[in-house]
Amino acid sequence: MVKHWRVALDDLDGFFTFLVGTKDGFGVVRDPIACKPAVMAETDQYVAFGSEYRALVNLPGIEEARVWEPEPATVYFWTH
Amino acid sequence: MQTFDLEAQGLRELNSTLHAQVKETNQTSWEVINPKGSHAIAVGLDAPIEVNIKGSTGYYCGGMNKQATINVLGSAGPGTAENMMSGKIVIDGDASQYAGATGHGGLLVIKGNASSRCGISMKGINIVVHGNIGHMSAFMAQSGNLVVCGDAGDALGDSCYEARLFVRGSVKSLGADCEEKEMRPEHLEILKELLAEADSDAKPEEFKRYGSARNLYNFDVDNAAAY
Repeated sequence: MVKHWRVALDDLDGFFTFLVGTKDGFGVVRDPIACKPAVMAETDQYVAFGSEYRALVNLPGIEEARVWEPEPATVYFWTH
Repeated sequence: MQTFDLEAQGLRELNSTLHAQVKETNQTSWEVINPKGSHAIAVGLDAPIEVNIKGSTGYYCGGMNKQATINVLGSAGPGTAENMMSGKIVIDGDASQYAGATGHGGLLVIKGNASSRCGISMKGINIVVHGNIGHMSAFMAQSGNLVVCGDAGDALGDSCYEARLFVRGSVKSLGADCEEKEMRPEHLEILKELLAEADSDAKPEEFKRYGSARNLYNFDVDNAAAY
């Protein structure tokens, strides 16, 4: 999956943020300009994605979560 | 100290209450609880009051601020302090995209990292970031000072005019028509004052200065590819 997305980053033009769920994982990739909003929240229990922090405020343990924005043109993937 | 529960009382009530404060107000200190990433908190203030927001904020916190001091005890969403005119905004955590965009004056302090496009089209605001800034920061920045105690991302200062950009760490790449400039005594003095006001212990001598190479001010066909 990570390999395919790296190829896609070269092939695709325009603004995009992709989220893909697989049987045992979850991934995020943004275009190189990255002006579409994207926020991640990570704890030991989960990884969550939203277009803004407000969408994540009711998650359990959000106060202690690591909240960050994905870098442009960078492939992130998590597996169970 | 006046306490305002944003969840219970609502955003419109908060902002109209803060707008009602005038220069002579005796209610100078406000605390906002339960912000929970709400948008447009404390925008358009025009009084010498202090607003402490206990938690993280959403889009456009403190936009158009005049005179007020706003402290965000959390992180801030996109467009924080956009078009600020005067006063001071301090973000304890990180700031999302285009913090301080188009700001005309005042001081924005980000104690964590700032995301992409920090200080885009800044017009006189001072911004001090204790951590790193993302790509395309200070794009078309016209005046004011952007101080970065950490690293800067790609295309710093692309097509900038006369803003001064100070970076202590590395710069991933410079944007079109941005170059490293000589650090003169007056720049060290500016840095010293801004770092002190932003509560940073970084030393002015550790920074490099970047600014416009002034090659794109007037149209030149040989530069067509860079416009």
